[in-house]
Amino acid sequence: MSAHDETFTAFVAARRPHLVRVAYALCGDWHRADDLVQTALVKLYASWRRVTPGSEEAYVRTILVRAHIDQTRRPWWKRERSGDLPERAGPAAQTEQVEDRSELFEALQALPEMQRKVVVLRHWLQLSVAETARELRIGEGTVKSHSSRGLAALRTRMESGDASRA
Amino acid sequence: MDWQETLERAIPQPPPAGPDPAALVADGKRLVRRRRIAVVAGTVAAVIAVVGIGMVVDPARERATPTPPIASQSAGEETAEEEWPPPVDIPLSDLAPVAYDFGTGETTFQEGWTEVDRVGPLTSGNRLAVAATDGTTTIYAFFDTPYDIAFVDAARTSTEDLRAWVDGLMLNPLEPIWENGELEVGSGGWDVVREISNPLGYDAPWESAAAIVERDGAQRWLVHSGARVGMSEAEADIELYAIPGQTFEEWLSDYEKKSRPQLSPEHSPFSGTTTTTVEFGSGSELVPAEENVAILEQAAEPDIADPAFSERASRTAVARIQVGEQERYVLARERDGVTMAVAYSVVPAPRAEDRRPLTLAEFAAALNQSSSPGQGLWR
Repeated sequence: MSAHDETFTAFVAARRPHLVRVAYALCGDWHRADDLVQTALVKLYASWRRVTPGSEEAYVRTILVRAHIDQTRRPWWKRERSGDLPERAGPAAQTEQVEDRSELFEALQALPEMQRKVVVLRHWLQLSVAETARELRIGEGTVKSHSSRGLAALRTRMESGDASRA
Repeated sequence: MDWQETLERAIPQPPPAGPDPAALVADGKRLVRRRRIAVVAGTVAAVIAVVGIGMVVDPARERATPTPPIASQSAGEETAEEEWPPPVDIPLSDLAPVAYDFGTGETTFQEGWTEVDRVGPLTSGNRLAVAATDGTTTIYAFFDTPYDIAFVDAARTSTEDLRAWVDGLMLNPLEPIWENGELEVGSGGWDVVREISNPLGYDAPWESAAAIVERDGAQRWLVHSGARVGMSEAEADIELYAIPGQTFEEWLSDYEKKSRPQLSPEHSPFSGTTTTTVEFGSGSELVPAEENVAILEQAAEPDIADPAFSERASRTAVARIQVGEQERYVLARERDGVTMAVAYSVVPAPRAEDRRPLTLAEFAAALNQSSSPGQGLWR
């Protein structure tokens, strides 16, 4: 195995679980998350030598986010995926069936696409407003308004959940 | 509220299963090969053409060593990706008066041309921008990557200098999206100046579209093609080449000839879904399990690379079937008395005259190439 392949493989081994988690936070579906991450990692491989050392993860994350935007904007062109396979689709599907997703996560998934992406990037991954804007290709003002609305919706959902349990 | 901590707790950890990194490497190599072939298809790796310069040069005719045909490029897949940087064969001319070696960092100039400004290397990857002049004309060149090289007549830009021009390119990347047959080029100041519907002459379900876009005197050529059948989708190509010396039509024609073999069904990705349309009859023979299903051909014990397919299987088979008006390929296996069958959609060749069913052996080989052990549905 070449040094190129070795370093890439090491990166995948170390960071893939986190990247799948990021993708899952964006799309709410393990199959799609896997598909997005795979697509992003393949592109990373092709660009590996051009990516600044240390910025590999940011590079993949950008591909992930934009690929997901493209998928949601261009349903006709979304890449093949097996997310809607029936019951015998494999461990990932089984995991999803038994997974107890938290109320907050469900609320996150219920947010409009761009609000969800802003919340994930800005408030979970701790990107700055400018970085989030660049990643999503929207204005900084738009980031702020999505952020504010998204967090307000999450807060409301959590408070109503607390109230219903009380 | 600490949202970072709250979200960290709320976002689930992923399941442990994932594709073998080796499979990603293999897919990555295929992608590199496709890109390389695309470069070959475009003859040279020029991306942004000079607009408004009268003299034209066809780099292909000037090249001393002709580019090998695509088939031989593909055959070298396993070794070709190890080369970095890939060769850039843009011959020096008055349209492209400076060449740059990404590996050594050396620049070479067309006779009579000299460097008047330089920016870079800008970041890792040895990006470099150079302004060159022959005393009359100044050309800006931006060597972004070996696949993305831009030349423009400085007089046609609205920028003050090379640095401003490069900043403009880097801050306003062209990110074209075709949506419902319409081209969107984002907010980077790129204008669509020409659009051609189905320039490649593909037949349904394939679509193709091409466009010329411009920004600040620079021009790019785009072509897009793709098809979807069932859950399978062929690669949607968005290429960005503009060749000094070629017309748009010549470039499209060249692209179509070179890319066509790459879009054959054997090279398309497959997507499968479990199916109950077939079941095992006697022995390894598959029989229809539902109305409206016909078995067109079948074979026992297909040569499938994923060991999970045949592991502990008492019988296996592959078939080409007709479900209503749709044709599908099916893999089936029986394990512990339970049959599992997966139906795959195959995207046909772009042109009707090239279409024929894959043989079952071709289907198995293509499936083996497009998926990797542990990555598919078989467990």
